[in-house]
Amino acid sequence: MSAVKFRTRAEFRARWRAWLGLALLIGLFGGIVLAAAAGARRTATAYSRMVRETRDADVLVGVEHTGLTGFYDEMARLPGVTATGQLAGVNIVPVDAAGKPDIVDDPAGIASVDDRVGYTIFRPTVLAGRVPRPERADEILANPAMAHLHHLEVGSKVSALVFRDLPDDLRQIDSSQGQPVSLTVVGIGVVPTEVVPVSPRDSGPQFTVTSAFYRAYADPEHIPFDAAVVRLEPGTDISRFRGQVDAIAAVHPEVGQVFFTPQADRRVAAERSIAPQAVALGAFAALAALTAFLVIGQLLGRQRALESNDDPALRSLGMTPRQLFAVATVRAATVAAAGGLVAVALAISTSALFPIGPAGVAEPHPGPAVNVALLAAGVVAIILLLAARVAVSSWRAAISSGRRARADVTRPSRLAETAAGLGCPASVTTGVRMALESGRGATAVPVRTTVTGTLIAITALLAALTFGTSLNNLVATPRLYGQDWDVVYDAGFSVIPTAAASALLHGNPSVAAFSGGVYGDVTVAGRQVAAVGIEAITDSVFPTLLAGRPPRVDDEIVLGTSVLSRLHRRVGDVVTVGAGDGERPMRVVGRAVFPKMGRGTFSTTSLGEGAAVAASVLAQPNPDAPADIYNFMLIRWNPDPAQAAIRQRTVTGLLELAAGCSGASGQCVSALQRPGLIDGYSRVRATPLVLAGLLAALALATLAHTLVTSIRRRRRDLAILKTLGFVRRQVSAAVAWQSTVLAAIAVVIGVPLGVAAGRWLWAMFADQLGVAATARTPVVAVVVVVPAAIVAANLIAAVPARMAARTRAAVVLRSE
Amino acid sequence: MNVLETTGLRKTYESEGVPVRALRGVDMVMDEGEFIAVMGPSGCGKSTLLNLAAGLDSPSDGEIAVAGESLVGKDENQLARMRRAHIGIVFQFFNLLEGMSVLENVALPAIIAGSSRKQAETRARDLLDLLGLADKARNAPGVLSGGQRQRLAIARALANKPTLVLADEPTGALDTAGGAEVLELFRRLHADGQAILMVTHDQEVADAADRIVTMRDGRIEDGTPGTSGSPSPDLTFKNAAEA
Repeated sequence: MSAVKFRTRAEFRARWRAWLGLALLIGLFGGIVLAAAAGARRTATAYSRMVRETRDADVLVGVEHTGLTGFYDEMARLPGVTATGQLAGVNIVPVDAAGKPDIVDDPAGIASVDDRVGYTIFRPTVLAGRVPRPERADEILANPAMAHLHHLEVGSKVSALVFRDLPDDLRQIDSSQGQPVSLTVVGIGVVPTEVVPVSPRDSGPQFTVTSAFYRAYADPEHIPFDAAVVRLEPGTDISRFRGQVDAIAAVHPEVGQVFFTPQADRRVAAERSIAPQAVALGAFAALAALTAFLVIGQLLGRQRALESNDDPALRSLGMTPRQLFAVATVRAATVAAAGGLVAVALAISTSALFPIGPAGVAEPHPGPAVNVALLAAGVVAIILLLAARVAVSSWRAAISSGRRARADVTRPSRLAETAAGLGCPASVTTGVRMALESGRGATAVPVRTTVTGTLIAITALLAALTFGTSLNNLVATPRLYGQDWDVVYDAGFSVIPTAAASALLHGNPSVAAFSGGVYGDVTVAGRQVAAVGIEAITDSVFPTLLAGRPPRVDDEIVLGTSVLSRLHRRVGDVVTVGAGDGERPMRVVGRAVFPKMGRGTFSTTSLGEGAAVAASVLAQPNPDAPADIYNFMLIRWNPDPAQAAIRQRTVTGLLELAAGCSGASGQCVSALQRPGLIDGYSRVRATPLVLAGLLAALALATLAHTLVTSIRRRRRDLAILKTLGFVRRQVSAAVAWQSTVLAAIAVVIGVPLGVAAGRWLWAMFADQLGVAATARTPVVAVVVVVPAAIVAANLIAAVPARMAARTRAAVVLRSE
Repeated sequence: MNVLETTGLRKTYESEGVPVRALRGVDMVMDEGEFIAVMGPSGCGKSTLLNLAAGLDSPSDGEIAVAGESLVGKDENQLARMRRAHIGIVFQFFNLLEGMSVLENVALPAIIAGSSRKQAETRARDLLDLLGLADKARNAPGVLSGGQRQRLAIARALANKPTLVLADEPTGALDTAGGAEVLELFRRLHADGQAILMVTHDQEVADAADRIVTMRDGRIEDGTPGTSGSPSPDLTFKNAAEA
């Protein structure tokens, strides 16, 4: 063993610069891989960690009027409840320097009524500063949207007016009715509902104020809304709990309708929104690791070949093959260990860039992070894999040592032969040979490594482009995310004046069809599902159906793909549905994609999550106006361009019916019902492209390395070609052809492979979302990628080609 | 026409910051069909003279012309074209392209010069046949013996029917038998009218030439006829190759 150590030390002294270079390269590649892997893990776990650390609610219970008069207190005493907190809306309107209300959006202030919300339950993740002290009426927490909107930071002073009531149209606000307050922002923080917003209110600008503020300024008789958040013991039967809550509400007439929203679906949606980025990062880490292993493994193999020149001498001195093997392996392990340490340093120093996407909002501890287990495993993997790679090279060298060089020519390239046969110029055939014939011994060039690395990058790029194009198509095509109509006239918690609306829409030439609808929720096989009841008033306007037909009678139901797959049911099956006053069997007559349909954050449908029944199943009786049962109307326009003016007048008429369409009334005419999940994806759709771009950069670097290596190792051949009459241009052209051929192989294989992989990934993703698997091939991108790859390869080749052209034949041949 | 003519040819290299005067004014004329051996001790400028004649290097001063065409002032591309037309080079260590077959090595210069592949391969086969390497056409150069490798290098040098063959220590890396093979080949070529400028430090090898030019310290000391100025008439190339 001492001989091994002695030899290793001597090698280190002689070749420490080469070892250092390799270690730094391993560190760079390894750092990228470890950073991406740790980032993927951090991204994947951010939301669940946030849910745990913020003591997120399991159920949000809202009411039509108020529950602060004892309803929430009674609910808190129900079995299974481990914690509750009460919150209330407050009308805080910031004012500008002139004391004028600074109205940009709905005034959104949330007060912790009982000192629990924000402290012992539903706590924010504090991004800066701290939470307000409960006893301080002047301390507030701003969410990032509010901080961004009013350029607030910790310590900022906010002048505001507190109102008892606000008009529907906020432009008509009367400042004299507001009570001036001076507040201090003591923290910036987010709550789990902001990560993947279900409604605009979820991610809108918001202040959180204390119970001291609530007591000092709020009038319990005039608060915009109130609600309770509840944590339940694990395993609590949600349906049973809901029944108990409804029973309490029945003896509290002041409560009105109860809006009961389990948060499990929201968490699933958030996790689903985050998962693609985590998967993309993980895939990037895996592909980068593979590329890095190929490139660095090849470099280590080459280093091993150079250092094995001394092996015959060492053998003659008595070193055994096992000792020589040990020297090579120890050398590789040492370099890999040093590289691993550099990789860890790089991964830690870049860790603050992660998590990415919505997980970045969820991360409870933003900033640098050290995943000790993952980094340690990474370093061990680097050492083992690279040592194994060198061990294999050494073993191969050992079994082939002493054998005479093979008598045949280095596997001639058929392509080069074909090119020569076709009469291609010598520079072309030489370039093709340089690209495809890796050579042996001192002139060996890592052709396979380069082709594989470039192929991986092109495949990943095309897969990302195909996936991204399909995602863009989904984001931009309402029908694909379920909105098979043009506008929704939405009364939210109120009901639509049916007679007036119908008068506007019936017989209107700009309207092709419209349906009336009711919000609600149902239980399907014991689990709550956001639901809508839809009735075709003229022709049927219904969420996009993937299979079957809309429900026609009260015992028929259409379900989302995710609901069906969770229940292991299909169209035609019968399910037990709880709606209104009891359960009943219903036949599943269709499978649909649902856009965002719901009231605020309460029971909102989204893609594969949702149910649709006949309107009569969910309609609440309205004794004052029995015909006014609809919460919304879905309207499909007549596509005839000649109807544009009438269409515009119809929208104006609907807006007038909707009484200003301000946030306070909740009534709106909207053309966009894109689910929050899709919005989340659309915000991060560049992620796969960025990662694929990084891989492409890695591939270009590999290509450049190969070209430079090739020129260095084949400089003698280039010199001979010059003595035989090659002019500079021909030498440059040969290198350009070499690069072109390498890129072309990757393109020819990688483009179809990437498109196929992208379509397959999209089909899986779409199925998981519950939308139609309509994959789109990025035709333009494919057309552009092919020449772009060739141009990039030639640009990369420019410098090596210049180096090659400058080869001084006399000097090279003399020194060789 | 003179195949090679130099007047006051000088070449100064820079080596580790110190100027090295490799040639200090060489005047030389070589006629068509002449076989000249350049002798001298190591560092006397023999190889430099050869490189200048091949257009692989440029003179610092003086004049050099190949086949009546001055090489002075020509750029690298023009020199490369001149080599295609007029020069064939044989190196001491062969400098064969190991990734190519024997046939391809010989065909390549003609292809570079613009011949079609078919023409180039036909010519290459003729040359290999002439040099006794026809049965090795598909082999890699690496499997040939030293003498065979050098014969291959000579075949390659002849591919474009050059005006002048330049040989740098062509027997230096060969054993006695191999060296004899090559010398015999040169004699045959010379007999067929091929002009050859050969650098050697071996008197026996130099004796094969018409004329021996001795160099010392970058200058030509003297020029004397060789002892065996004409080829052996009873040996064909093929016989020589098989010897």
